[in-house]
Amino acid sequence: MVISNRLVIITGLIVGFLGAFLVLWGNPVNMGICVACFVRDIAGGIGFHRAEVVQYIRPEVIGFVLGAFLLSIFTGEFKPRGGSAPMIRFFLGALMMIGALAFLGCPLRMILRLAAGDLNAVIGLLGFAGGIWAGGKFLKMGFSLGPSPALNKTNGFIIPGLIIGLFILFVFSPGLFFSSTSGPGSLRAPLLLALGAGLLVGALAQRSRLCTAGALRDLFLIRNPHLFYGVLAIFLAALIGNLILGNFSLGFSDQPVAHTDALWNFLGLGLVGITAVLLGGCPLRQLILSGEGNTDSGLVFLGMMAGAGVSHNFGLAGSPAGLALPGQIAVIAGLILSLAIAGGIIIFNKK
Amino acid sequence: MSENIIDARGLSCPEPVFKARQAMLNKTNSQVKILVDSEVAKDNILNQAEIDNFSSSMEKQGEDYLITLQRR
Repeated sequence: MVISNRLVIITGLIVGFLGAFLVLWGNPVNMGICVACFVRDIAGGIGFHRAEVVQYIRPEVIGFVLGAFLLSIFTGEFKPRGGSAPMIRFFLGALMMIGALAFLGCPLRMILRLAAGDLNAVIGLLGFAGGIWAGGKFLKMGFSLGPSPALNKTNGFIIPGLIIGLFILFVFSPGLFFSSTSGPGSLRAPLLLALGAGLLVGALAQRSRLCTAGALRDLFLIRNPHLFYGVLAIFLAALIGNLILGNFSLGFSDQPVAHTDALWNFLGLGLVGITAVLLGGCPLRQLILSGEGNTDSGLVFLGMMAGAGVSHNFGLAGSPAGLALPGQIAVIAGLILSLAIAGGIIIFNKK
Repeated sequence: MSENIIDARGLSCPEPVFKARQAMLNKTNSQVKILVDSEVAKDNILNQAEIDNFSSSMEKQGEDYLITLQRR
C-alpha cells in the first residue's frame, strides 16, 4: 500500500475522542468539534451576524488552520496555489454553510451526533450520502472547476496570517469581539486546551488528508475505502467516549442542539454533500487546505463565514424548533443553484 | 497504445485519480500516463492503482510527477 490506512484511522480515533471529551471540558453537547458551528461562532464573534447565542472566537478553528499551516511548512507541503473558479468557490462555500446550519452541524458533527444516539443524524447522513452521490455523477459527466496553478508563496500566508492576527487580538483584547453569555456560544473548553486540540487535529488531518465528504465520495466513485476507515474511526472513538461519559441517548426527540424536521435534516446535509464534492472537500478539509496555502480553499472558508452571516442575519438557520420557512427556501434555492452551477460548468467545459 | 499524457496538474481531489482511473477503465489502451504536481494526487493515484490491480511506475520531472499505469 502506498498510503497506509493506519494514519487516517489514528487521526479519526483522535478526532472522535476529542469530539466526545471536549464536551466534558466545556464545549456544547454533541458539539465537541463542529467545523461549521465553530466558523459560525467566529463569524458571530467578529459581528458578521448578531445571533447572541452563537458568538465566540473558537480556538479550535484557529488550531485547525495553524496546525495544518505549521506542519505543511515543516514537511515542505506548504505550496500556495489557487485561481480555480474563485467566485464559484466562495459562493458554494456560502451555500455549504447554509446547508450545514439548516441541519445544525457539519458532517463531522453529524458523526458525533450519530455517536451520541441522535437518530436525526441518520436522516442527515442519508441526505449527505445522496448529495455526494449526485456530486459524483457530475464529476463523471465532466464537472471540473479547473486547475489551480502554483502561486507566488505570498498568497498562501493571507489566511494563516489572518487567523494568527485574529487569535492575537482575541487573547490580548477580547473586548473587541462579541461573546455569548448564554447558549452554545457560551459553552467553551478552556482556551489552551481548545487551541491544543485544534492544532493536533489540524496537523493530523493535514498529514492524513482526512475528509468526511471524500470518505463517501471515494467509496462511491472509485471504490476506495481508505478515507472511510477514518470516518468509521471517528464514529467508534466518539461512541466509546460518549458511553464512558454517559452522553448517549438513542432517539429522535430532545437531542441537544438538533431538530426533528426529517426533510430539512435530509436536504440540509444534502446541500452540504453536493457542495463538498463540487469543492473537493468537506468543511474541515477546506480549513486544512487553507492552512497549506490553498487560496481556493481559503475562499471557500471566507464564503463559509459569509454564509454564516447571511444564515443568521436572515433567520435561515435551524433551531431546536425546526427549520423556519426562510431557511427552507434557502436550502431549496441552494440546491437549485448548486445544480445550475454544476450543469453550467459541465456544459461550458465541453464547448 | 497511445502516448497521450493526461495533464492533471493543478487539479484538486479527486480529479487526478478519477481521470486516471476512467482512462484505464474506459479505453482500450493498456497504458495511461498522467502528469500531476502534488504529493496528494501522486499518492492517491499510486494507491488506487494497487486497489485496481494496475502496475504503476513514477518518474519525477522537476516539480511534477509522471505516473504510468499499466494493466497487469
